[in-house]
Amino acid sequence: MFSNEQEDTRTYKVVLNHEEQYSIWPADRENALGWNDAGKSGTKQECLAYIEQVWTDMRPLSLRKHMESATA
Amino acid sequence: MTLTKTIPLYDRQADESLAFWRAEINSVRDATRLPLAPPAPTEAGHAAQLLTAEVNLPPDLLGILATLTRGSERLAFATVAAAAVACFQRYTGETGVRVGVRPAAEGQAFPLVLRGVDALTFRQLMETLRGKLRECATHNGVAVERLAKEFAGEQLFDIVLSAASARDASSDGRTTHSLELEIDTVRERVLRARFSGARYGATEIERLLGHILDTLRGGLGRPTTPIRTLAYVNADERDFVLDSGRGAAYEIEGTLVEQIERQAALDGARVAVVGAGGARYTYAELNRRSNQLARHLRALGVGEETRVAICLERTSEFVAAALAVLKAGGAYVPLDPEHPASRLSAMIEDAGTAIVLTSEATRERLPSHWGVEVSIDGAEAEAISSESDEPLEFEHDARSLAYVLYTSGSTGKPKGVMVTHGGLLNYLKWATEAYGVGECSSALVHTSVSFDLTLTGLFAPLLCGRTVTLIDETDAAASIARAVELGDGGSLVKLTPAHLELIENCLTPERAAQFAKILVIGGEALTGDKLEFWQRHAPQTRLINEYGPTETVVGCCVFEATGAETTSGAVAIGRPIANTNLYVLDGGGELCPLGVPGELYIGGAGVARGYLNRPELTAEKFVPDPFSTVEGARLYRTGDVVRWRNDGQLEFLGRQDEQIKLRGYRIELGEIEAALASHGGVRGCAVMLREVAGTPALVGYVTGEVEADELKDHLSRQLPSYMLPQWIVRLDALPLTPNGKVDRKALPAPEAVGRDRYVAPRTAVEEILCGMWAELLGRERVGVEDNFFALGGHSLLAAQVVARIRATLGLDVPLRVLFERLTVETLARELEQQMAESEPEAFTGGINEYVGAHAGAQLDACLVPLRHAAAGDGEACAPLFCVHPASGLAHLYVELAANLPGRAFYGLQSHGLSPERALDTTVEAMAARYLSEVTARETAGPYLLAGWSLGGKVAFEMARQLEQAGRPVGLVAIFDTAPELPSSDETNSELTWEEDYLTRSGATFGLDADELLALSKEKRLARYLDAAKAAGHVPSEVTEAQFARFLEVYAANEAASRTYQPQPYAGRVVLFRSDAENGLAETYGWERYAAGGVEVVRLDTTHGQFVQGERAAALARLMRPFLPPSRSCRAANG
Repeated sequence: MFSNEQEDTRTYKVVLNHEEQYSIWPADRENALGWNDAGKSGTKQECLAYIEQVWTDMRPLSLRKHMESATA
Repeated sequence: MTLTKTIPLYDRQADESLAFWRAEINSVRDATRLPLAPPAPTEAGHAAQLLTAEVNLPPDLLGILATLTRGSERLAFATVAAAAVACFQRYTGETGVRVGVRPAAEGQAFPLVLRGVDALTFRQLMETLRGKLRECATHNGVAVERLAKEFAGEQLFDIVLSAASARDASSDGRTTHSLELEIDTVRERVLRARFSGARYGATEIERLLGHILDTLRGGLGRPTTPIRTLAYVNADERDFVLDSGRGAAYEIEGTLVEQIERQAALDGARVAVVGAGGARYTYAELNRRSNQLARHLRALGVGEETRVAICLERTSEFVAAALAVLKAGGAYVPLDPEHPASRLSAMIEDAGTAIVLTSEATRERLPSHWGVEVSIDGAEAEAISSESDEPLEFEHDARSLAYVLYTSGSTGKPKGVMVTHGGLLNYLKWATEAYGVGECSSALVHTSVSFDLTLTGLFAPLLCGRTVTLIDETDAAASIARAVELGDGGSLVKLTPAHLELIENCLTPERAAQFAKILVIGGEALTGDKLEFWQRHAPQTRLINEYGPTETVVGCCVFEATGAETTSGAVAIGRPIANTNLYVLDGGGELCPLGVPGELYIGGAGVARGYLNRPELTAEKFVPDPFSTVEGARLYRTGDVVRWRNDGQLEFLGRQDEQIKLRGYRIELGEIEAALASHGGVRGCAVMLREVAGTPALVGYVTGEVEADELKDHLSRQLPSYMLPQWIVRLDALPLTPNGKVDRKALPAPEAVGRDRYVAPRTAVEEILCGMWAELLGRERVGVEDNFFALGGHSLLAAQVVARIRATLGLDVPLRVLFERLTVETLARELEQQMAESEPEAFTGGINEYVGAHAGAQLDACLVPLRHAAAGDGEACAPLFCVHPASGLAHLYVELAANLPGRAFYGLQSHGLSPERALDTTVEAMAARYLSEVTARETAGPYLLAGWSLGGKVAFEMARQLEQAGRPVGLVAIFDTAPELPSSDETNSELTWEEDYLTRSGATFGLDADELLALSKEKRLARYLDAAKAAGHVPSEVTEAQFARFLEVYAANEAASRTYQPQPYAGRVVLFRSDAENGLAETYGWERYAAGGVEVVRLDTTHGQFVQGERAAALARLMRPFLPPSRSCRAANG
């Protein structure tokens, strides 16, 4: 049915899309369309900790650019 | 002719096998059951029927199989079985699989237990399974039958994999499994399922067969791939679930602000919002008012992505304020002034709102915070109204933030969900059309503005020129009462299932039809019983079950109940709304087949940006969409467990985090709640796992007219024992959160936990149970009203109680009974009733009888009742008569009597024990004397006779004499007696019998043999008796004369035993013999005297310990098959 979160010992990787939105994905699984490796893999917790560090602006990239151009 | 049959129940091999099976069974705590919904009750024709489905094994697969297994049918079976096991694992999501296997055509099925299946590749699974089959084969045999008895009341397996077999395994009518899968790779070359029509639909099983074949194909092709990633949903099914999960494509244009402004431009005089006390805004007024406020906010720096908190009551001003924030380009953060100050300050801080819109009425309720307060009717009122009421120039972006709503996090810290304009408008546009909001008179808004559910009523009417009617009551019940007053039959009302119940309570059936045009029910799982009132009394009112988490904007999946399809169980959540994709995925992230539970993932326009300030949580819950053709698309993982129905509708099964594990069992609280709700008397219910007296327990809370016992019966018919709540608590009303959901934190701890009052046992059964529980629970004492689980009991201990009840009372009690009867008192009633039902005579105080006998009180009769039969002896079944050994005493049978309840049990002791009575010196004389007493007591027969040691010979002799007299014998049970050997161990020829006895017996309590032998006969006896009494070996009231007589009797009995020469008997004897090696033949030679044959039953003990102590229970258990049950006794009597 689904994996129990506590028992999840799989290896994940950090992925991001064109909007620089981050997520995690099983390391042994092919990336979904439009998602790329961010260069970090490890346990789920390790990957999420990494994301906590690097994902500092959660606005989608296109919106950030749009807002920058509007204020510029 | 002699017939010898050996039943090696206790040989070492069997014990080892039993231990093996026990370990196997216990390593996967539950028999694997397919989590498929049973067919609808309307297909009752299928119920109780065994149906068959089959699929041919394709030649290409057979070819691969044949090559791989070099033509071995056995290996081919194991390979296909591995594919089936892989499917079972993926269906259930459990890591362990426990099924039955019947690998040989005529063999019996035995359990197959595999652990850690999900992590294996197909090759590993095949190899593991083959190894397991080999191991199991060495332990298969009688032990499996013993195992079935030991786990009586529990299912060893629910699914059986069987090799091709000529025998129709399902036709024996006693199958306890629901599905048998026959694997035939050689003859018919099919995969054939025989299954219970009550448990499964044929469609589901046919699909399962297809999944097994596809898994086999995938596994053989990619043997080193983990099974969890093998594709096993075929293209058609895949297309069906993808299509079912795809909402209509829909163009969305503009923004919410533009839509509302358009309505204001179309007809500004219409009423947009009605607040408490009749305060109202027309569309023109609302527009002007919100423009002014927007300009004021803009002046304060509010722009795109700026978050502004709104802490206002549910008034027209709130709607104007929210609209103003949006118009200024910002995102609003609703704060319910009724919420605790600490929560509000945490939200303001987390949301980083520099501005908090308040009113004079609410500002004093705000905690101190860092933001700037803008009071719309206070200090800033004048400044606001002096702003221009023309709209601001602003271009909204669908990607920008519209609002942030806080939901409770699992850690207790609220999470701010960031919803965008695109997502909000998508939902509102869809809802406006689907719910026909344009045809409604107004939407009645009675729920908190900080509740996701409220958005429907708050904004949808404004998109189509209708009215929002706000109910400004802080109390849910008062709000509902007000809504009932305001409802005009044309209203849209959005509410929770709990609200529905509240409304039902304050509406007469006649008024029901005039309440609402459409009821949209969301927020919690809906069960059909909540709709009955409306379907009966307001058939014109549309009933919508709307599902959706805050993270994907209010609702993403809807089902309209039309009455035809609803049942008392869970109501479907239906199909996706526009621009929404729904997927049901398993733990490997793969699509679940139809009907198989999985986690719901939501994609599409509604997916929120994430959780404010929580990138790690956002990344965990918002994941890549592997099915989308849109680049970079994301899915929200709901944590909700759902399944696809065959008609393409989704069914909600529960929350994943409410899916708890209790002592190894995975339990869905929602499933228990649905079962509770399906009882007609239950109005509302909730189930939770909580500590009760330090032990986790399932507690069910219910409202309505129903007794707890009745509910427990009701549940036990639907749920496995481990899912039965240990407590049922009846409440007048379920506590609700401000949002109208059941407030689980406010549910009271079950009352009457661990009562202070100690109530001593009053009946024999209570006494036995109290002692048993005290020992198992490690307590000094247990009262009859104490709760087993409250005292620290759990299901493993409960299993031991079951075993002990079986051992001491001879009753087979299903484990679930212990979960239903939680106190000694209630359990005792149940057991006593079982005894009364199983035997015509009731079990009346047998314990007292044997205690009396044990004290040696009755030394003046041969026939000693160790357990009485009840009144109405004519109806009673045959009692058991047990003859004394050489000691002449019968009290050593008391433990055996205690273990054979419900049947009168008589001991026979030597006539000569009373000094004034004659000493019998031959076995024949004893038999004749005892028969005179026995036949006087029991006139008809058949007579059940037994005896240990010398008693075995006497019992045999009694049977022989009965036979000669033409009277019926029901049983001759000989406890470890050889016909031609003396009863006791060899005697020391240098001593007299008495000397030998006293020295050997005295040695057991430290009496020196030489010291004893040095004394005169009289003094020796006195010395012995003193020491024996001091050691508790002989009751203190026994006199020297009595003891001397006892020794005379003993010696005479020994002599009688030595000289007895058995004569032929036509009937059969049952020899219960010691397992110890004693140099005797298997039958001890009884076949020379019993022409009817000897049945041998082995008991793992020595001669000396045969009927007493811990083996008494085992002996009783082994005897039971030979004791006629009550009905046949009655027939024999009649």
